[in-house]
Amino acid sequence: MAWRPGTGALVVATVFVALVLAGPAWGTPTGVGGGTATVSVVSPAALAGADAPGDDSLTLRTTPGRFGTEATYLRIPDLVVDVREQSGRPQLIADLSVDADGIDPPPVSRILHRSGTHRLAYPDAALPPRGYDHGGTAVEPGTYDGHLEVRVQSFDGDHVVVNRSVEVVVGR
Amino acid sequence: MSGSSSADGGRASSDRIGPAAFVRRAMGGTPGMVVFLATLVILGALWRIDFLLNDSVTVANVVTNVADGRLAVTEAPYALTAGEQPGLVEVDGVLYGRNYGQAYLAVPILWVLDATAGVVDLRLLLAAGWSFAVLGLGRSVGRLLDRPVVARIGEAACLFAFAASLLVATDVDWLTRPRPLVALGLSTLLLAATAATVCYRLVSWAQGRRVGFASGLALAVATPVGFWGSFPKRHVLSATALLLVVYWFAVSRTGSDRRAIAARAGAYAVVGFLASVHAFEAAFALAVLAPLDLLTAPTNDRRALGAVAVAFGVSLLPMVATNLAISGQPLQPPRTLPGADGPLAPGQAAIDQGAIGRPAGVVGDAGLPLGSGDIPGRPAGAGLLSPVAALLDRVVWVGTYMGDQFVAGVAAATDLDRLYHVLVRSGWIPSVRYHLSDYETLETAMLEVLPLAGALLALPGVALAHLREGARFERLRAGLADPVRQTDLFVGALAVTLFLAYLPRLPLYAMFTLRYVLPVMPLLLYAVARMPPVRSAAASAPRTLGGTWGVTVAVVGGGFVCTLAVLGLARGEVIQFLALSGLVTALALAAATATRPIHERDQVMATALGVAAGTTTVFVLATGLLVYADGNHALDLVRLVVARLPAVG
Repeated sequence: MAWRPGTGALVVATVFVALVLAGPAWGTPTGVGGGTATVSVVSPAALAGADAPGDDSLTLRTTPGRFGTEATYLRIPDLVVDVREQSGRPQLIADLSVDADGIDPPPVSRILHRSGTHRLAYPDAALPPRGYDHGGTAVEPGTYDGHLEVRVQSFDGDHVVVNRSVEVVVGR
Repeated sequence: MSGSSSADGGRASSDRIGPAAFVRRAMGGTPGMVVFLATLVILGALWRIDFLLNDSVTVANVVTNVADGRLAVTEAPYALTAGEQPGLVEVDGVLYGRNYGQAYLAVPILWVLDATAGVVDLRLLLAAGWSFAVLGLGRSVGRLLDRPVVARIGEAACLFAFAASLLVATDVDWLTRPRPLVALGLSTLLLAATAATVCYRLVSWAQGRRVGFASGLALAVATPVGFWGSFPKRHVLSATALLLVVYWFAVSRTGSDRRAIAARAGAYAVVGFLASVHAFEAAFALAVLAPLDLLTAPTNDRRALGAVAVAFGVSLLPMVATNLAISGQPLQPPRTLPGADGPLAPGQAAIDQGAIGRPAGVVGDAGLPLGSGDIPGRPAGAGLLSPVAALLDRVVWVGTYMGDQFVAGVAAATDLDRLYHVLVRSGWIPSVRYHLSDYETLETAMLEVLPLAGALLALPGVALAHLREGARFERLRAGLADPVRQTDLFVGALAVTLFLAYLPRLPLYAMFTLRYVLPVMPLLLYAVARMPPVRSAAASAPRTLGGTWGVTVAVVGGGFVCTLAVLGLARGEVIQFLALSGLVTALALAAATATRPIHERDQVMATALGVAAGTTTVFVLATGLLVYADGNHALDLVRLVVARLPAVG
């Protein structure tokens, strides 16, 4: 009986042909490259008018962990930005520093590959409960100074979007 | 499934010629293909090309070097310094890694990937592979249900997935040399799919195809094997290997023909190969396998024992050759070398290094529960002993160490607080060094991530009911001549031994889902499937079981996403939310199983099983898509979907 390709064989052949025709370098880069973007903060509201003088500082507070987590969390709100005049692959990067040993949230970033609204999620920073003695650094309750910087970076330049003092309140 | 057995058997006998038919038979027929491909499709979608734990960096570097033809780690594309590679040991000024057996499985895949590098794009190659798995799944399900339209849907889905991937394809450019890690990840993925298929075959052998089919799928999506199948850790390899050992042990109890002897030899061969990955896990497996095999084998004639000896001896060659090349001692694996106790050791050194240089979520690995930190490693060729005497001395030392570990495990089993946190509820565990995971409560207990094991809580009651029905001691003793009962005994002994061997280390940070005892979890699933109320429900109410599972995934999964969006949960809170969900369903399953003699309804049992399984599926999906992911999914389509979901705070 003569061999007849089924639809499955045709599908496989089609994918193979497309795979080879696409070649070894089809995918687009994901990392930061050249380019630029005009960025304005939409949320949180305290940062929305960041360029205006005399704005109130942003206050971040700790709240207890939930669902059996005894850690305390410094809740850092997501940053929502409006991106205009985007070109290339610039990077939006946010860096929160706090003048307290034991609170050291890592910077977060994302590539701005299109205009429109972007959300930059900042992971909450967990702090140990009182009495934790296995290591690390405990943070005493109190108010600490902090600093938030949001920038747009690319191989073509570096632009500051937010450069603000932040008040960090660590509760009991 | 009811008619699938005969229908499939008929097909299998009619198309024995050809690789497709051969593969289908190896899988245990079309249902086995469905289990294998469904696992590949689901876990492939969750697969991230990244590290969860920094000791995987060492293994990925080992893969890179072994592929280039050397055991020494002279090229390290995934780490700038030796300190970033827990498990690295130094012998005569040369650095070596560990888990070489795991690397040996990944290297052929790497060769294939390297061979295609000049022709096809890596990301598209992965998309094509996944699309083909979708195609194969559609065809297999269509064949199973005898509905060609399902096969057509699979073909359309394959084309759509690949075409969409073409449009949105990105580079895997967050790694300078991604292919060794991709090969390691692919080998883990294939091992997870193999584990699910072996589970299907094992439980089918003991309980029939319906229960086997449900168990195979459950292993992939309703146990932590689904969690670890998408990260390149050794635990899935160990779990797969031990399942294979159990399956071949089982098959070899049924006769003394060539097939049974081959299966028996195969069980030992798998243990031998496992030794090249983790020698002490293999040693514990051998310590359980050998006596029970000899006691329960249909025959211990010269032919059978000769086949076992040859298979085991040959299978030890990868470990022996590796050890001889590195340490000069055939029974001294790299993780027991004296250098492993130094600053490069995976034990205390890794704890101190923590998450240095790794993305969020990557934490240090306490490393070897049976490793260098505990073992007073000896210099190669120590003393003036002859090679044979040195070998015997080493064997005695290994046996002594295993005995000590077992005794310590029994002692640990009397610590109720420890057992509570390991088996029942995690929460904030006082003994865990949470600062090594940024104070996030990422550790979970057995029932939280394997709520199907909740059925085992009712085991005493089920056993009592069984006795009341007339299972007297004499009948039990006679039953031990039954291959299924013999396999039950082997599974029980293996599970208890491995659990006790690791228990002194638990609870521990960076376990996520008690990963050290991951190989025990498929054995527990087998035990659950063997319980009369469970097998009755799975066999007589498969639609209720599957439907409840689907509804649970939709409801609990949707509820989880809503909770995440509204409450903005942090990583540790997400894990504990999911863990509590699992624990609640585990207790519900325990209650349904314990009250089975009262309600006498398979529908109730099937519902409880479906809910428990569905909750774990949500755990696997949530962790795979959101919690331990950072834009690093292997499939671009998944990455795009995840970008539109609420982020973990």
